[in-house]
Order: sequence, then structure tokens, then C-alpha cells
Amino acid sequence: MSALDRPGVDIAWCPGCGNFQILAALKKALAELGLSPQQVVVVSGIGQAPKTPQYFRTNMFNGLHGRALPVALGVKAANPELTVIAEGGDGDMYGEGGNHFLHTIRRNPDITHLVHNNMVYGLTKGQASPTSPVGFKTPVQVDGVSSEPVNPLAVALAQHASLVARAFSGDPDRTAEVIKRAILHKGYALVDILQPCVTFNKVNTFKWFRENSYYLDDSYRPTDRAEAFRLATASGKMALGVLFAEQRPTWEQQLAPYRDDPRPLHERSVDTARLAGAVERLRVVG
Amino acid sequence: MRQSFHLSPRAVNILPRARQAARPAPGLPRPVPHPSAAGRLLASGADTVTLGAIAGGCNFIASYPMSPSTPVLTGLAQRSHEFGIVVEQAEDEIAAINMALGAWYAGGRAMVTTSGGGFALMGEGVSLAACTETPIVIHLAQRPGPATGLPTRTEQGDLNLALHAGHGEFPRAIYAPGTIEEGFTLTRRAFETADRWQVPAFVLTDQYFIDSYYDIARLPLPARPLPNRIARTSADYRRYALTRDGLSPRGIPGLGEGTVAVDSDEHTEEGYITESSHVRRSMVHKRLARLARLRAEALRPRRVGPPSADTLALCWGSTFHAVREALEGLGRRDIAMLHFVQVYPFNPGVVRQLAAARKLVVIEGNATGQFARLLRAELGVDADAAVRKYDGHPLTVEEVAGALERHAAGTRGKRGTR
Repeated sequence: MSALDRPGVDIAWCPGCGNFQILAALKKALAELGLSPQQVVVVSGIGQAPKTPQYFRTNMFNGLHGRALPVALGVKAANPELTVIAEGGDGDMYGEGGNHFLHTIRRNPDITHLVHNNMVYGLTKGQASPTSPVGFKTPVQVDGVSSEPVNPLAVALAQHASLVARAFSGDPDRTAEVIKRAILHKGYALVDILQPCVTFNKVNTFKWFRENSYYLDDSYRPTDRAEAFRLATASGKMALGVLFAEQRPTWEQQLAPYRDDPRPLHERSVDTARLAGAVERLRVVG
Repeated sequence: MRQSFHLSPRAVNILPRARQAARPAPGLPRPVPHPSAAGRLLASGADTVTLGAIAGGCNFIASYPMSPSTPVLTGLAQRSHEFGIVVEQAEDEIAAINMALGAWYAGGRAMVTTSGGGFALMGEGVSLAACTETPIVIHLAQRPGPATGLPTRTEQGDLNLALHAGHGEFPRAIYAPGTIEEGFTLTRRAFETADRWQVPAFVLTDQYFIDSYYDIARLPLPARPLPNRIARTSADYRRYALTRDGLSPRGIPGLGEGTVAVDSDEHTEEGYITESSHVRRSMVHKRLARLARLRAEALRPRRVGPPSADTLALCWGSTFHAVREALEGLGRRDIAMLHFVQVYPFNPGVVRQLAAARKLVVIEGNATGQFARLLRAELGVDADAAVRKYDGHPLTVEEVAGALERHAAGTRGKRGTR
């Protein structure tokens, strides 16, 4: 048993769900990076994917549907020493939380953003998600989906995300490598993780994902944003791996409290003499 | 006139001027004070809410600009380097309150500032604060609704919203400053309440309060910072450990040997999702248990006026000065006022304060008598008469005085006058 295990935990996912392999990949990544449960905070929303931090030992903020990213920002701002991961599904992160997705990228916080993308709603039993393909029929979308799917990688690249990657749950070892790279990256890192839903998505199956994806080869250098954008928007098979990465100042290091003092907020208290000075500045000079 | 509160707020010009007599924080337009204010503190409601937040240990604010609440965001931003405050302009109010909850969870002391429409978007976040037992301070500066309403005018129309925002059942505390000094003391207190009882604490102001300037002698500066009520965790830490008063020591990630799991799902003592009916009942009781404690320590309303008076003018929040000055002007021995600085929950002693009066007149800045209804719901007390204003402007001394004369002259003890 590792420090990351929660013995005896009752997992609610369907047998064969891609979430099991993503959970395994995440635990492997954390273990290989030598991160203890105490150092890591996983913030999640609501759905099947956001249950992930319920199933291993970590600090967890399992919040509202769609709102993991803003909570993660608050955590990172209060204590930049923590390794902060925001985790959820395609509906959670690209639908309900779509606005936060756009604006979190702009800030470039040192947060790892893991999105389990199975192109369907699992928790609510089979409705279309923001990434469902056109024509996808469900009990609600009876004539098939007519809206274009969100292209999360292209959106992230357009917003100049500092790391953009895609992984496939079917390869937990390679997914763990991508997650490690994302965690080590100082800045916002999106890992869109393709994942079959064995119960509600009979189109985008394990076999379909396998046949419709390929790994970027070792010679690929993720430094050219235009090339990454071309890959993200190309028709046909989906590229797996880190498409783009670049170093930029992070959001939290530019926040006022950390300009010249690295201490997390809980180690600080208000300077009452300084407060008296601020009040004194309201005095009307006669 | 050097005495405080002898007149209605000093006439001040709030237009920006190149030269300002008081030394302002950079970038903020300040009024030009009357010469008689020399040597005194010139402060707006926004100033005192801002400084009260800092006194409460606020080191994080996330908000989306919305009149009339924005000056508090600006005020903290202007002082962010001096006091080490994270200031984040969120993409929307939903993000703002979720950021603030994340900050508290990880050891910060956070607030949001907003107005009715923005606060409506925060409703689910208020509920999340309650379920996760994460403290949160919410400054809600009211303006007339519904919808966009009168964005630059004033009203006390969002009391019901503050009382009921958030799905599910859980306790909260709502403070409503009347004097400009109370902007300071009550915002600081809201931080203490939120932290101590792990509940949402509101500072309910309005456009009139936030944008009014007063000259005052002093602010009651605390000698010491408030305690930061966080616990170092042990390896077997349970965030929602059941206790008699419903409060569990609040650990934060990275401080101690334990991990801190909080969940918007109903959860076990360890903080993990559960469907157990037994656990559900115990967690409902846990969350509600602290209401009794919040009641016991609730601030009592302040009585002003002759002890012999048997007519009580009841008011709350920003109407304090208008009502007080109206009573002074009338000079009657039979009318006094009771001003509520905490509108929820009520201190149990309020019942006695009200029982002594033969006639109750509720004065408030809305059309439907939200505070009067709250008195009835919470205390079973029916007001005899109501003075209500909802045209976007603050109550004037003359309006209050005229209405009180009429109502006091009416038949005593007769209920239901309007």
C-alpha cells in the first residue's frame, strides 16, 4: 500500500470506466514525483471524473459543478507552495465552467488542469457534452447533436496557455508521463485526457479512441504555437502528447503578497501599526 | 459643527479634484472636506468597510465590479501592497466567491464585495460555503432592483436575498452598519464570526451608506489582530469530526500530518461522499447546531431616545442617522428608536426590548417591509405601522419625522396600520 491509497474505498464508477486508468495514472505520476498527499490539493467539481480525489489520499476540495478552477486559483493564491490540480470532466470544465477555463488560462497560474474527456455526460446518464461529435444521438439530442464540439486544445492555444497536452486513458503509463510533465511545468497546464464511457458513449469507444489517435514522435518540439494549433485543429487522428509548452511568469508570483515575501497567507497577520497608519491617512489636514 | 452626527452627512463634493486636502490612497477620488472637519477623520462607508476588512485580517478579495460595491474592491486594491492582499478581478461573481472559498480552505482570509445582481450569481457559492463549512465574508451593497433596477441609487431591498440565498438549510450571520464607524467594527466582526463559526457572514450595506462621507473623531483600532482559527492536523485528521457544538477544528492543506478533504456532497466526518441516512442526519444537526451560538452572541439593537417612550421606531442599517435626527427634531418623550446592527439572527434579548413598547413602527428602505416580516417570522412580533421608501433615494429626516408624528398620534396598540 502506498501513502496515496485509501484502503477499502467504495468506487462508484462502472466496471471498465476509463476513470480507473486515469486515477492509476495520476497516482503513479504523484508517486514518481515524490509528492506526498499533504503537499497536493486536488480541486474538483461534479460529475464522474471529479470523484477521482475521493478515491485516493490527498487534500481534496470537491466543490460545485464547473467551479473547480476558481477554487483552485484561491488555493494557489493562499499557499503557492501547494501542488494544485483541478480535475473534472468535459461537461464540468468546458461546459458549466467554460468561462473559468478561458480566464484561468489568461492568468497562467501554476495549476495542472486535468480534464477527463469522454464526449458524453455520465453522471446525468447520457446527454450530449460540449465535446460530443455532431450527429451524436442521446435521449435529449434525439435528432443528434447539431452544435460544433468544443476544441479544448485549440481554445487553450488561442488563449496562449503555457502548456497544452492530450493523453489517452488507455495508456496509463504514457498518461502518467504527460501528467508529470504538466505538474512540473511552472504555469497553467491543460491535459485533455481522452476516455471511453462504457455505458453512455457507444460511438467514441476504447477501440475508436485507439484508432483515432496517435502519439507525437520523440522528434516533436512543443515550442511552435502555430504548429501546435495546426495539430490541434487538424482533421483525422488526434495528436497525443505535449503539443505546446513555454515558460512565462505565473499568476501567483505576481500577486501583491508574494512580491517580496514567500510566506503563505496563513503565516501572516495584519500589522496593526500599519493599519493605524492607514486610518491616519484619512485625517483632514487643517 | 464639530460634534459627530449633529447634522445629516456633511455636504461634500465627491468629484475628483487635482488637489485634495486629505491624503488619499492613490487613484481614488476624494471629497473636499468642509473646513470644520480639520483634524478629524474623513471616511466613507466604503473606507470603513475596507479598513474593517483589513482589521479582520482580510488578505484576499476576489470580485467582479458592480456599483455600488466596487469601492471596497478598489479600496483593498489600493492597499494591497501595504497589507499583502491578494486582489483578483474575477471573470464573474461565480468565480469570485469560489476563489474566496478556495482561499479560506488553504489558509487565507477572504471576502467578496458585490451588489444584488452579482450576489444572485453567488447563491450556489454561499450554499457551498455552508456545506463545506468554509468561512466566507460577503459584503453586499444594496441598490434598487429587480434586475438592473436603479444602478446608482439606494435601497434596502435585498435583505430577503441575503437571508435566503443558497439552497439547503444552514445558518448565517448578517450585519448591517448604521454609523460610518460600524462599517469598520462590523466588517471586522464579520471576519471573526465567519472564522469562528465557519459560516457565511454578511455585511449588508447600500449605495447611500457606501458613498456617504462623514467626519469622525476616530476608528476603534484593535490592539491585536484577530486569531486565525486554523488547526495543525494530525495523521488521522477528520475535517468534519462530530462535536457537541457542531464545530470541528479547521485544518488547512500543508499544515500538519493530515490531509483535508472537504466536499459539497453530503459527507462523512472524514469529508468523503456518503449516502448514509444516519450520517446525513448528524451532518444536518452539526451545521444547524451553531445557530444557537450565533443567536447567543448576536449584537443587540441600540436604543436611542427617552427611557419612558412607549412608541419604538425600529430600523436597521443605513437609516440610523435619518431616524435618530428625526427623533431629536421631534423632541417627543413618547418615541424612541431601536436600531438593528445585526439583522440575523436576533439576540434572544430583543424580545424583551420590543415587549416594553406599546407601539412599533418599522422604518425601512423597501416596498414590502422585509424587515417587518423578518420580525414576525423570527420573533412573532407584529409591527403597528410601517414607513417605507423605495424610490431610489435615502429616507430623509423630514419624511421620517412626519411619518412618526402621524403614527404616534394614532390610536395606541391598534395593529396593522400602514
